[in-house]
Amino acid sequence: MTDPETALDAQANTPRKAGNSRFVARMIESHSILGLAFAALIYVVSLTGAFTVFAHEIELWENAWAPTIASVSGEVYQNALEEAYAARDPDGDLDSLVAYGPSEFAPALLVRLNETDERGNFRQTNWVADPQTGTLLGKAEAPLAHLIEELHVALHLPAPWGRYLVGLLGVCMFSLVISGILAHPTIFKDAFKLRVDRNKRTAWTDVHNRLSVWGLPFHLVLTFTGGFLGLAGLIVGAVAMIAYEGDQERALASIQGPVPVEGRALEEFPPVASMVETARTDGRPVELLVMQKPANAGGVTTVNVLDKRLLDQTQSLIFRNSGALIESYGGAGAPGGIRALAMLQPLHYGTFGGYPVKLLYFVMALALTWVTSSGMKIWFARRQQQGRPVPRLNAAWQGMTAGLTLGLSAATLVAASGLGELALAACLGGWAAAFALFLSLPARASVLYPRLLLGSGACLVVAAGLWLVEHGAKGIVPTAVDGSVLALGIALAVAGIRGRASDADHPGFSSGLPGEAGARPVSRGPRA
Amino acid sequence: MLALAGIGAQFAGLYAWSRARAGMAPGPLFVIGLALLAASFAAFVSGSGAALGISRAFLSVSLVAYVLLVPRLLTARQIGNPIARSRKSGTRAARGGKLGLALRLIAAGPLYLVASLSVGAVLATKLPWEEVNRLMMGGFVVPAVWALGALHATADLRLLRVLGAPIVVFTVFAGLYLAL
Repeated sequence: MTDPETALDAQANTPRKAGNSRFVARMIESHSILGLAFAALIYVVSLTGAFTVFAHEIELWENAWAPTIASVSGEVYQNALEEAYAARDPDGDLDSLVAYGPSEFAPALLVRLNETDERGNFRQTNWVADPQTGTLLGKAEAPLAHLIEELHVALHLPAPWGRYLVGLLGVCMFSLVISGILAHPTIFKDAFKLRVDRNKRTAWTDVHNRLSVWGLPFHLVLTFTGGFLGLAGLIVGAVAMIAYEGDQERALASIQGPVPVEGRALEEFPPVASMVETARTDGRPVELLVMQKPANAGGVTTVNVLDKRLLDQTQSLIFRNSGALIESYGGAGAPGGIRALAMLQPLHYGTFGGYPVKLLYFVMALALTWVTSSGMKIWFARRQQQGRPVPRLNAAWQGMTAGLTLGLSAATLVAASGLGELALAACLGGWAAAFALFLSLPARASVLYPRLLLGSGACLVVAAGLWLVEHGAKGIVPTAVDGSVLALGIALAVAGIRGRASDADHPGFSSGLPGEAGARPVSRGPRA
Repeated sequence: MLALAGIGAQFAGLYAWSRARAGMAPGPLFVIGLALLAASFAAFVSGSGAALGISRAFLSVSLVAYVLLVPRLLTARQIGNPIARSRKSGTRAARGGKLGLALRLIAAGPLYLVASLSVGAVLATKLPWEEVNRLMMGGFVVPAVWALGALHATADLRLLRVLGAPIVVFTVFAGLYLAL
């Protein structure tokens, strides 16, 4: 993105240059309007998206007692699902039974029961199953993973509006990426320009542009897939209305394969074991098993197996609950539309290359968060340069960002303390308190910011310590997550301390992470 | 192994480009950098196949670039010096004030959403392809058209065109749906 005033300054040269400059200026205006309108929500979705990449691992960290294993037999799935079925509410309506893993990223067997009670309330119960027998060992509680995922996919808003809003954000971000490219005619020339020693506006523009340009393929893919995944329900509804006279199930069946139909009542539980053995004849790992209408022969059981040689890794084998294989769906040889659909999730969540790709996604998602933050810093610096500073808004932005960090850290701490049911309250409480604090004390923002980082870091360090005392170094994945929580906590604390030291050296010019605070209260009007 | 070779080639290629941009033999170093990046993509594709290889190559080239750039950010005492001077904005575009902005956001939001859904619905139902392929194409088009529409609505200075374009798109595609 070129500086807007520089773009217009060039107008006087030649008519063609003037036209180009006007075009660039309009692109920057578009970039500013959409960016400013949605920056806060984009920041939340981006930051939580970085951690959602490791949602399965965090879930296992929260259930460290769960026995781990690389693979389980068909009989184990059978027993686990039968036990979950037996635990249903007899007066309610069972929606589906789901078995997860064991997978590369969460080597444990988890079972979920989705049901609607007699009063029409949806209810979800999760268990950890014994990987040797399938016996349900206890409830799986993952409030922190759930909080992070919900913030990312729906901003913790009710369905379906939260998802639609996040879909809208994906579309906005896609539009921002395009306007960012078009606003940057010297994209190649400036590819390595990073003038951190210039004024804040120039420095942050360079940071914003370099992180954006070099992350461009990732940003395009992530925003497009995010927009599509968020809006999928809306799109399917619209297509169903037009093409299938409002029949959404038929529309879904065209895209996702066979759906349940009404059949005879089954006397026995569906033969899950034989379905699993059929599905993984060539040793491919089972990723997921979803059973709909278990008591009915017309119900459907989908067994997803992974082929890691493909980007669209998932192949679904769809069975009637009587045990008959109806269709093999996806994988090599499937129609392009199905394969493209199957690529969306791996491309969005980075599950197509083991932990190296997941770690790259984590870094890139954090960079996207920083891009959002730096975009706001450019705008604040621009307003200040124009003699129209917005100190309260600047403080509110910092309160929002630091508050989210504090809220998520507090949620991690309460989850590690065994008070997982308070994770949402802790997150929202910490977030709101920080926001209110910054808003009420905008002149103290530069002092508050590093302190909040320090507080967040302390929460994470204590959380990691509590977990270690409680569970010991149990299991590679949970221990690695705990180590990461500790490392993140130390990094935040160091950033906070560094910010405070910087504040002491240069009162009013502090930065925790470099420039992440920089919240010097600005005075109105020109300065000498 | 091929992936590691690819990452190595990316480091060398981007370093050559950064030297070229710094003014050191710009032409030859640019070509060498380009060749190294092409070789890195070839290495990734040979190792993982086209779709996986390209995805991983793009991802790693981003990270390699960050590795070259980010240390300067992390070691900087602070990013940017305080802004001491002030000047009036020179980019006061005629956008119709708050009402104009509100109308633009309406065009960028609901109006272009409806327009993009109409484009998607026509492609999903009328393309001469296998059912699942045209359905998916129709679906994929929606966020892309909506994003471009939002860009138009917030960039075009003429408010009438901003409000009219999505209506025209919707009308054209509704007509196409009825006509085909």
